[in-house]
Amino acid sequence: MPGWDTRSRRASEPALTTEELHRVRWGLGGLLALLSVWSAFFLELNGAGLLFAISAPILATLLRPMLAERIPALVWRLVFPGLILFVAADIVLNSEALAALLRLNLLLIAVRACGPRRPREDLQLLVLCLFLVVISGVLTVALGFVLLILAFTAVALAYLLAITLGESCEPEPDGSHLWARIPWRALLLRLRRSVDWRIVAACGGLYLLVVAIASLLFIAMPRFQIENSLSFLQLKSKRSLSGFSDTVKLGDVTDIAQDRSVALRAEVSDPEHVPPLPYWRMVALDEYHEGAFQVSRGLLRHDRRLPAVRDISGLRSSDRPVWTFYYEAGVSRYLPLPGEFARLTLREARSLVENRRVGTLALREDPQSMFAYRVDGLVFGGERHDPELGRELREHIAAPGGDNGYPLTLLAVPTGEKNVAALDAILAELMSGPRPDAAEFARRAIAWLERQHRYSTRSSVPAGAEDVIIRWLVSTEPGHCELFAGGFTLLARRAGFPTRVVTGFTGGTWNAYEQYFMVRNSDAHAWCELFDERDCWVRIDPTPGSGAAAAMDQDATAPTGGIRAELVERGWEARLDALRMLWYRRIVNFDHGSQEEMVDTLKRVTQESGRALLAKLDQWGLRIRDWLLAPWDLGRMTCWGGIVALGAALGWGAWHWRYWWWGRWRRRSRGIDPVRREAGRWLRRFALAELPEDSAAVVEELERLRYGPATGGRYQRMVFLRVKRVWRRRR
Amino acid sequence: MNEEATTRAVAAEAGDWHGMAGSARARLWRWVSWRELLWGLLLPEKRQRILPTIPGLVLLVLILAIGLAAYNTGNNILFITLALLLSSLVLSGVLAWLNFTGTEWRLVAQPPFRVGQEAEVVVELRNRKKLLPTYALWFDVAARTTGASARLYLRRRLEVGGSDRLCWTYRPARRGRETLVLSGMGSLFPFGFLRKTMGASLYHEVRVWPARVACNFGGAAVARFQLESREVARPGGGNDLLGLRRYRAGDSHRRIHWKASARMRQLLVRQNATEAAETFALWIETSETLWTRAAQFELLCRLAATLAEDLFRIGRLDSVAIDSETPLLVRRIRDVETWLDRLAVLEPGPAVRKRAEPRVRGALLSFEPEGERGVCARLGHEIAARV
Repeated sequence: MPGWDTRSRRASEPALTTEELHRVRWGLGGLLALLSVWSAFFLELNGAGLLFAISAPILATLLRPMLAERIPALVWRLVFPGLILFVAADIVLNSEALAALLRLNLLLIAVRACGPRRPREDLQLLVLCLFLVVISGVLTVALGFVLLILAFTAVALAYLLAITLGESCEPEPDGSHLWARIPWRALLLRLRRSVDWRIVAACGGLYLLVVAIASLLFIAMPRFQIENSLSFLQLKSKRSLSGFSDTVKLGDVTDIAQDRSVALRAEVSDPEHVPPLPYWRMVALDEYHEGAFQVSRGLLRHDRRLPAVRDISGLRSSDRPVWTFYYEAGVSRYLPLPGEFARLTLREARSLVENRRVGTLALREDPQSMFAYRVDGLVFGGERHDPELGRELREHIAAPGGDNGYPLTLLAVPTGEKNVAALDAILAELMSGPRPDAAEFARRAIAWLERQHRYSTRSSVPAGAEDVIIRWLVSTEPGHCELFAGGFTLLARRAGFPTRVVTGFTGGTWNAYEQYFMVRNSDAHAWCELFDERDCWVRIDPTPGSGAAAAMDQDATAPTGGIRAELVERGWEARLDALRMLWYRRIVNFDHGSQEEMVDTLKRVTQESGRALLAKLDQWGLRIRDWLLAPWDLGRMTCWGGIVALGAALGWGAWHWRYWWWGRWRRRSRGIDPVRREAGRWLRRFALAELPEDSAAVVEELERLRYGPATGGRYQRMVFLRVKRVWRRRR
Repeated sequence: MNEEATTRAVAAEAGDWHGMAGSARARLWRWVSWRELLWGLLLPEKRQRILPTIPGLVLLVLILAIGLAAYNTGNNILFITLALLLSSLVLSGVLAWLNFTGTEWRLVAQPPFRVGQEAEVVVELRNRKKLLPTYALWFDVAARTTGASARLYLRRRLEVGGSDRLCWTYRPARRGRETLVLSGMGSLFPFGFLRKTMGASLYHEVRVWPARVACNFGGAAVARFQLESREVARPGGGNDLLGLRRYRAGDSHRRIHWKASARMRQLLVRQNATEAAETFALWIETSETLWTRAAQFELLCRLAATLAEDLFRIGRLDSVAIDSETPLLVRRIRDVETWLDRLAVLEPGPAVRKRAEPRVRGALLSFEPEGERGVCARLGHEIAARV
């Protein structure tokens, strides 16, 4: 081909052959399958065994593709009918369609990844893997989804590229499968030799561009609130912890406290309103029966079912401070609500169960992924008003022969002579003298309990015929929070004070990185609420060392002075958890409000920057004006005149000798004459354009600059000037 | 006879290259009006198309489904997935554009084109990019008259600064003018979602020579002519100097007579003589009264072409003529090719009662129909060849 170098400049780096490309495609497909299968680990599909059983053949065929050829054709013919039978049996036996669908997806991925693939099957594999990854992310909202989807995107794009390039290559003869025999090591070495590092860097840059564009799209995509939107299908794999359910047996809460994982994250608009020791109240249990506290049927009748709501109004009027809770899945369907509030807002409409008598709020079903809600005007009160209870109790007590349901369950103690006698013996000591009021009784009872028992997460109750709590009360064994709460409850009830047990969390630590509360499962706790015989339930925490035995004197609305130093956590756990919080806050909970906030922030920052810049310019302007208005004498004029003249001279010199300077600098850095390069560039441009007829001399001069001996700067300038004139006159 | 330039060697100049390299660079250096810029953003160039493939349709359906699910549930994980899918589409467009950029191509027809013989039509490519290779292109070539077409695939990567040739073997079926078209190019690169095609619109007109025909040239008339003819000195490849003539493009530099050129101040070349026997001249009458059957006229063209080549090969062809045109002297292979080009497009002409024979050197071979299907070549009144 005349006029063109037919040899490629990169002839020494051989391109991948068709077989090698097929092998790369096979490898990427296997890798994609493994990534998506591992994403299912987040889902807890009732069988890590299934995931391992699927990963093993995929990995084996990825490393040794020849194994796939050894699978008989009959197997491939029977696999799809087998899958249909499997999924039918799965649905019938487990009655959970979504989990069955996901297991089917896993099996299909295994079939496609291990079997022979043409481009059509490659695309099927890609779609199956994408489905699994996305579903895992949606159902679990795990932080690991970010890394997974980014890795998945990179591998998927490379896979599609390999498929497209493979289709454009020479087709391999049917049945040859030479690509399956190429060793991985040899292939990787070939890849390393044939791929230019600059292309790899360019691909990396393009991938970052994809991520950047995706981020911008994610932020910019308009969010609409659809009132009747469908909630996503839920996978019922996570169940509530038994310590936070309707029935709590002794020891359930203590079991939860063995776990250090974070159960709840809470951020507040104003840290001044964070109490010294927050109680995250969840479940109130009124009925006691043989070692277990539960919500009585009578109390359950006060439950109000709210179908698909987003907002719930409370009793308070002020909407400050604002708390936002991020509640992990698998804790409880009861939402932590420390006190009274003005308004509770959910991220999406959900069916709820509200019980205003005890101040609890629960989801209809256990949440399967992180659940967020906002509470405006929340106060951490130790008191809850219940003006109707006193009247109800009097009515129930006055009506003999009635049922023993709520609210009489608040006074019920274990029956039996020995049980009652044991309680009375303790109360004889506590109630000596005039009958104490509720507050005084509480103080005496707590003091007694502290003298009799010490706190321990491991406790043993002596054997006997009496009720388990009563046996513990009369002993001197150490006890956990449930025993203390249960014991206090029985004593108070026997003394005639309505009391109930409450479970939830207490305390927590303040994450200094993202400024929020981290409440762990190890903060699970049980305490009591005592009715003060007027209209108020008061929080009582009889567990020794809890630091808040009676909270009757605290003003819930007053600022508390911020976070105590001993609560602040700064370790690696806090750092990692802050990352998760960032994920929840900025990504999972990103909505229309967040977009508006971002726009407002951007606007504010831009305006402030603009104002600061204008102020700076004004300042400079004033300085220059003052400088100009200052008196000018001969010395000053000479000095500044000289500076200006020197500057102008330097500038003129730099412009005049720019080619010389440029050449000197470039020669030092690279050793190639930039004038020759520039001349070559002009020659190439001229070759493509239609020049005027008299331009031959100029072309000759350019060629002399390009190929001839080095010339002076003046000559170079003149030539380039003439070149530019010719260029402007071209057709 | 040589009024029209024949399109034999149809690609030689660099200006024949097409593609996004040359045009992009040229565009950089000329002023683009605002109107052109805006229209360019809104409307693509002519014959540029982007259509989704089946995987592309699947992707679009996926995007739609995920988008609907995202808006319906308000789930940000779905929004993330949607954003990644959309940005992958954007990346696909960027990479496709980068793949086309810097790639140039041209259509080269390697003559001769002859009925029934395979000829090569080549698409030459080159990659003028500085960093990225070019992958996975295809080119659609076609012969307009016969309707034959093919799609040529670039199966290897086109390295930076490299070039490649894609060949199409084409067998013309009919004599005459043939237009070879490079109608478009396309690619599925990089991910196979979108089929991007660009109209190329490169045309090359070639002339398809008539096929050779088996004929017996000889007979009593030819034998007698050869006996009676004398040796003559003619320009040729011998060692005897015949004369000097002006330099023509294509002459060997070794034949330049430097002394004479210096004296005459123009380049002169030696013309050597060769002794040759008496020659023949071919004369075709195209009167439609003479050639009433199209098949016979075709046979005429084939016979004339065959005889011209065979006689030239043995150095016995002096000139060729059609109707009353000035005879074309045949001295070089290019003259024969010119004659074949004329035969390629020859059609029966207007009816003429009687034409005068051209004045030629050597024996005049004329052609006339023989019977209903045959054609014969006459030397005087006797038949010298027939088919």
